Amino acid sequence: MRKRLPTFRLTRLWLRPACEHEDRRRLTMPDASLVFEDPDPHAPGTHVLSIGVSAYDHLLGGKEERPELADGMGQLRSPSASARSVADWFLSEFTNADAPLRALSMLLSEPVPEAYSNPRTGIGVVLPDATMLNVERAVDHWLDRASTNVDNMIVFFFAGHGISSGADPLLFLQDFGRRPRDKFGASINLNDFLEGTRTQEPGKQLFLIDACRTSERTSVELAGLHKGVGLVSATDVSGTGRSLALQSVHHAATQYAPAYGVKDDVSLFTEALLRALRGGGAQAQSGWNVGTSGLEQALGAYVERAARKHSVVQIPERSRSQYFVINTPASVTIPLYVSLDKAEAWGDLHQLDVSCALGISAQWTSGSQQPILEQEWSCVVPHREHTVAASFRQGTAFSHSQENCMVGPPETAFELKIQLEARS
Amino acid sequence: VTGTLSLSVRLDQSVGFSTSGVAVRIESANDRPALKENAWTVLVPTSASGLSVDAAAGTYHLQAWLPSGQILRRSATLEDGQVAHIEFFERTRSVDDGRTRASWDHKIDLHKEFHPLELQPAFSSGTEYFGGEIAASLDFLQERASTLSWSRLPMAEHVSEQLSLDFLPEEMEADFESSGETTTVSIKPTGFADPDHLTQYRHWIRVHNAHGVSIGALPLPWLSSGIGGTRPEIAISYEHLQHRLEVTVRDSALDLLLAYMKRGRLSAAEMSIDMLSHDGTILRAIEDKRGNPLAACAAAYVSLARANQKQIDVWRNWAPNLMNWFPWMPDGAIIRGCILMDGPVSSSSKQEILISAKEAYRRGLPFFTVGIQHLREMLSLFGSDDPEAVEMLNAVRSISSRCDISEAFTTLQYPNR
Repeated sequence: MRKRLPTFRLTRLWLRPACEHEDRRRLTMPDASLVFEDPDPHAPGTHVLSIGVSAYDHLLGGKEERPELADGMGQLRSPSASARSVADWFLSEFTNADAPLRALSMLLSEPVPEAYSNPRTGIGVVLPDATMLNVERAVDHWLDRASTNVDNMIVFFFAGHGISSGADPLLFLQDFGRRPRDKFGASINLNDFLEGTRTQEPGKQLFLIDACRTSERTSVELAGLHKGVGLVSATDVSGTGRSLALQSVHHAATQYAPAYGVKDDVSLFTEALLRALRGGGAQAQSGWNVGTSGLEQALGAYVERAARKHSVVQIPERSRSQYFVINTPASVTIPLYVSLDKAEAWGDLHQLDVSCALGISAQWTSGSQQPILEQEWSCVVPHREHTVAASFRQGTAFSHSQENCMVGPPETAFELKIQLEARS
Repeated sequence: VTGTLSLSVRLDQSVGFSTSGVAVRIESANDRPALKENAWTVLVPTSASGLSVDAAAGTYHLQAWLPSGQILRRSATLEDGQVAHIEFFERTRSVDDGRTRASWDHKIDLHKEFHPLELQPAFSSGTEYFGGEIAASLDFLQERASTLSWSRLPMAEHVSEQLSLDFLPEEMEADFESSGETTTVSIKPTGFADPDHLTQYRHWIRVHNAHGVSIGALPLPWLSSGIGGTRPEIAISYEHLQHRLEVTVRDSALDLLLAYMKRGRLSAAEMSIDMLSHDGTILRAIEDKRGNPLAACAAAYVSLARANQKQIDVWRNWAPNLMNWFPWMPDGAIIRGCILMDGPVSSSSKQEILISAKEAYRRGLPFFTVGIQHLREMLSLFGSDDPEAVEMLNAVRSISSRCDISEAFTTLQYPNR
């Protein structure tokens, strides 16, 4: 049975406060979005803020729907699942000796709010909605915690609706369209946010933006205008001896393109992101750590492949490209895609074995539940040299001599050379 | 003990990216750390001949970064004295490549989710373009770049009435072609192109259609260079159905850099810089006034984007020259400012950054899209207490929201209200 934190009641009350003296109150109040904080939060480390917006009050299907403002946009189901998955991964798998996880906060907008269960403690907590007010508070707390050391790394994950107006991506929060006279008052101007954040203390800043960048009517309205909220004002770093932070910004899609998700499951981008962080983004030149360059490459490979599987096109893009290490995977595991050079041989295939010095890494047997999609079998195996062997049903004309395959990140595709016996 | 990796690349020309070469990274394949010395990058020409690389016997992973954004991977096992043929073949995309912009009047269904079993496209774009009518007109703009550029474009003072070269320098010739769906113009030098003549004015291509105006910066000064005995040319393409304006440079020595900049594939762009730096191409691009400072700016922008300290240190010496030797080029001043932003910023360097930013602004709109983003950041981070800088920032932000960041050269949209 899930335990509920005593902060639950406080959290819900805190969602609709009187706004007077907001700034002063903000930092004296506890951070309702906080899921985890290290006992020694001032030591160098990583501070994560994860936001998933699945419920939009004023878009189609929202509780106060305003079709005239919605411009065709409706409710989403994958952002919340994506934000939760990212939080799960940081709490349970993230490893960085120089910057271990110090704090993680999260905001979730869901049609029916559900508690988030911290995988470290098993304790469930209902988190604040991702409204502009709550996001402002969470960002303030997040940066306050992270501004204790220039060696800190901050991670900002956003999943929800977004558009691109020229070079200005806008990220829509739950209350987007709340005030018809200021439709974009509840949206984040990502460029302003990045500029302001770059002047803050934490020296490494990773932004993961899982949102569409389509240029629909709304973005045409915005040409020549400057809209959205920057959340963080730039501070003057001159004379402080401090450098501007390194930033790496990874978008789920290219400009003017949509990003996709699977209903009630994580988005294609998030799925790829987690696979990349688990080791697919490791690079030799990074000492087999996952750095921002390796992440870019792995995201490019995984998202494109996943999108192709669903007959759509999605290509992630990186808009600020500075390098730093993100994660040291416990073991580097890599997707391996095995195909046959004779497609007709699939029908007679009995078994595929992928093995390395550690033993069998993956196996497929005909009749198993593992699907063969587009005449390709996929598995995830350790980063090692493997032997791949195919065996066929008795009496068939096909045979195979095992082959060696070096499996390396971000993914490896290997085509088996199948022999066909000549029969009289 | 060596064999040969015989590498070739076949690009899908239909995706609209053209380059003379593609960066291919070769990594010795084993699962031990410290592989750095066993990984290197080569430039594989897109011509049929490809490239042969001698390598020690062993297994290799090869990755080719295509300008379209695709990353192709191959593995090869090389035995002593053998030749391993490796071809990178770009897949033709079966559906829209996602880069195609949503046109101004067609509807994108933003319900981005789909059921995994449906395996259907998650959105459909409308088919009504221009109300069924295809109509657009192209002309050239010419201006003396100044602070006014930020507000008066796309209504420059001197506009040719037709698509002609009246306002292009005499040493230029242009081929015009229209297939109905796409209009293309290529501009190339007919003889020696005097850099002074090419830099006296800024030139733009302008497209009028039913929905507004698009303008694209023409990097004509690029045409005064000719590294390696090749003749560069500028290629303009306008796709009527998608209102997409694209300005590119065809330059066998340097177009790789631009092709990657278009996509934001800076990992690959950085590798191309490494290669171009290694053979001296970039230094030759800026070593005298008859060089190609625009190419040098492209290289510097990539180095800055990657925060590659080794390369930035090189640019630290060259940035003042880029700014001072080429007063017609806003990007040189922007790069100068950006270099000063690398590392701790003193009070005096803050002033220098602001001076560079203001100088860039006064020189007009940057040639490169990324230059607008850098200028915006310089003014935003260091000009908040300077009224003139604040005013400039507002203008830059306005232009920034019109900017097509998928293009390497500044391309702006002015939709009808």
